[in-house]
Amino acid sequence: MKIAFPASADKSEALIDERFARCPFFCFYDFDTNQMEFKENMLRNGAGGIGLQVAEFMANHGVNKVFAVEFGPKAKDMLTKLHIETQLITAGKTVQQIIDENRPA
Amino acid sequence: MKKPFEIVILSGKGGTGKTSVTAAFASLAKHAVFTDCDVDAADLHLVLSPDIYQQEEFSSGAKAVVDTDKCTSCGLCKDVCRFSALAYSGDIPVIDEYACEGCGLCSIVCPVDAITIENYNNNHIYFATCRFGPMVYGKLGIAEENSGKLVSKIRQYARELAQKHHAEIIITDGPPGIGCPVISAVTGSDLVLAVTEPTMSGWHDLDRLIEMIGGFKTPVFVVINKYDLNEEMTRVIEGNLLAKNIRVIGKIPYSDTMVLALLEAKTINEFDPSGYIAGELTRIWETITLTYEQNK
Amino acid sequence: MKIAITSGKGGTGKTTVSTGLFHILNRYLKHHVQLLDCDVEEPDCHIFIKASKTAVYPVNLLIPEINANICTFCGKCKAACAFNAIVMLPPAKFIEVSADMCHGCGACTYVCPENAITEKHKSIGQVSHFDYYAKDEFIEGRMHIGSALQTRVIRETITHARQQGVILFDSPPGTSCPVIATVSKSDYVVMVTEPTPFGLNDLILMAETVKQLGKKHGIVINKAGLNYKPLYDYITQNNIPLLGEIPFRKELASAYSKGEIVAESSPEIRSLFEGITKKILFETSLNS
Repeated sequence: MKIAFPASADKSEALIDERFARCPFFCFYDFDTNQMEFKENMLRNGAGGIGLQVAEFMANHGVNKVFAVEFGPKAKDMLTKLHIETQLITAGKTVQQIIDENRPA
Repeated sequence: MKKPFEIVILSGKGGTGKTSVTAAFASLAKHAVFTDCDVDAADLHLVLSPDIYQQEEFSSGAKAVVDTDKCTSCGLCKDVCRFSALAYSGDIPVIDEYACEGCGLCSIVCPVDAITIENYNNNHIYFATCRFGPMVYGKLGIAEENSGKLVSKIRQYARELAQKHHAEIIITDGPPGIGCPVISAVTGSDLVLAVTEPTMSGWHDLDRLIEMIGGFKTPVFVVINKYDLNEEMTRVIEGNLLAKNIRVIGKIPYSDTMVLALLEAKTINEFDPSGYIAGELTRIWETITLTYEQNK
Repeated sequence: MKIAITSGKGGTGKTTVSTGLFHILNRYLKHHVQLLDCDVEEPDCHIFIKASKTAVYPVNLLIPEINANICTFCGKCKAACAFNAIVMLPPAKFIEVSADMCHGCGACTYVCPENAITEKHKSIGQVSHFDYYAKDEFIEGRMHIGSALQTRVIRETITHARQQGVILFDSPPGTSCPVIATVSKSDYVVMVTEPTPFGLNDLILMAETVKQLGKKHGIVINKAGLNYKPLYDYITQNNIPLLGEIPFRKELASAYSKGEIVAESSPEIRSLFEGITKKILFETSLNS
């Protein structure tokens, strides 16, 4: 299973970012291979419709589940349509914490 | 870092006293950041007298520009434009910059690449400090598209300012109406305070606003300003809101104090701290902070 | 003659003035007059102009639908969309246009090499005609709640205006694109303000806008009584005709709150509105 969530910087001890579509980085983690990858969110400075485009970005990266403090209604609908699970997380945690807490049993 | 609690003050109809109420909250709130998202007629700064320390330009729209040297007057651009934004003046296509939505179709169809889409940078965002704390506000350039992008950007900066200053609350003076800038002001906020007045149009507009917000699940509180100008209408509005399960958290009587405070560029709570209206506004603010505390 | 009634700040009395002018022109000055409510986000004129609806015309947008079975996922439509409204996922054969983001410009349909796109009507508002004194004299534009394309509804509303007689536009507040859509189609602009710092600040923005558009204009001060000198100084210094002043009185506020035409609340107020109306007619006749 591959997950993704917004990060405030590209390192595992960084805090998660509270914005979904406009965060600076996304952290991708593949539980099958235990590979962690950060990608800069190049979409964040777009004018409008960013939530939709980020949903597409997630799907193109083969993500199965997305975590965020808050999802916009358009982004959430599109993620659902693209068969990507969404789950809310509380702010103030680190990237590593999110990965550890959501590791499948 | 916890996400700050975001309160947006709206009204549907203009002129109900939204900005005076926002300003009063500014003098009551502790550890808050203030924003004016009524970018089309920004007035909050007239009361809060902020000192601007930084400003930036902001583009909220793009428009087509024709290079008349390259243009062969084929007329394709005019044919495809659905916004009637192109007209020919003799052989030269002229863009109606007020009608152009910047979709770029004309530039796609142009066989000689004579049309480009250019961003307009007529809008401004100001970072400032006022006597109650940090403030960020925007001003739309004249005739600019009020698409809500400027509102979203201001709110994003307000969140960043709140993190920097460890502020727990963001208080936003919102735009009137129910269109795109209002939708941008409500998106992601934690509480809407709607300021209305006891008039048929005040209610009509509030009703449309509430229906629009209904799509967001953001809780709404209502304050009836100038409630004694028509007490019967006030009762009608209270009844209608009760039926919709929306709380009226305060009623403010009509008074010259509102304008007199404004003339001295003071909030009502600074101008007449022991007066009835200041007391009522303090009570309203306490109700809001209580909701915020419960939300923690 | 098309006259736009505007105000930089909301709630200054725009609707009070436009319904008052309409009433006076229609009832007392026997003019061929039409009122168009262009404040499509919050149209309020109908509260004062009590008339029965005779016809409703939808305001539609053409929204594309992409047939994923025909689509080859070449990505041309997505690249052409200036509003980021298209989401595409080729491996899943998924492609969709978000109707909320779409402006209905037709760029995607134009660029699609496979003819995979068809366009369907989506209603974003309506224009209603009202029977007022047995004539089509009151027309209202109304945007559907949740839509964000107010300017489109305004433009459509204005196409319903007659070509002769006096046409009044009740404009939205502010100075941004919906206001321009209204003001740019008018010959004369009445700017309504109030004697407060907020009123003056927003009047200045409005006056600059109107000057930029090159429209002849004048000012009506509503809720007058407070001798706010900077406003009067501004009007004198800029040589803008003062068309009249409506006093602040509790009984006028009360008439307004009940949805009554303020201009008809007393003989004195009626003659005051008549004066304003005649002054506007005079100013506009100078123009032509």
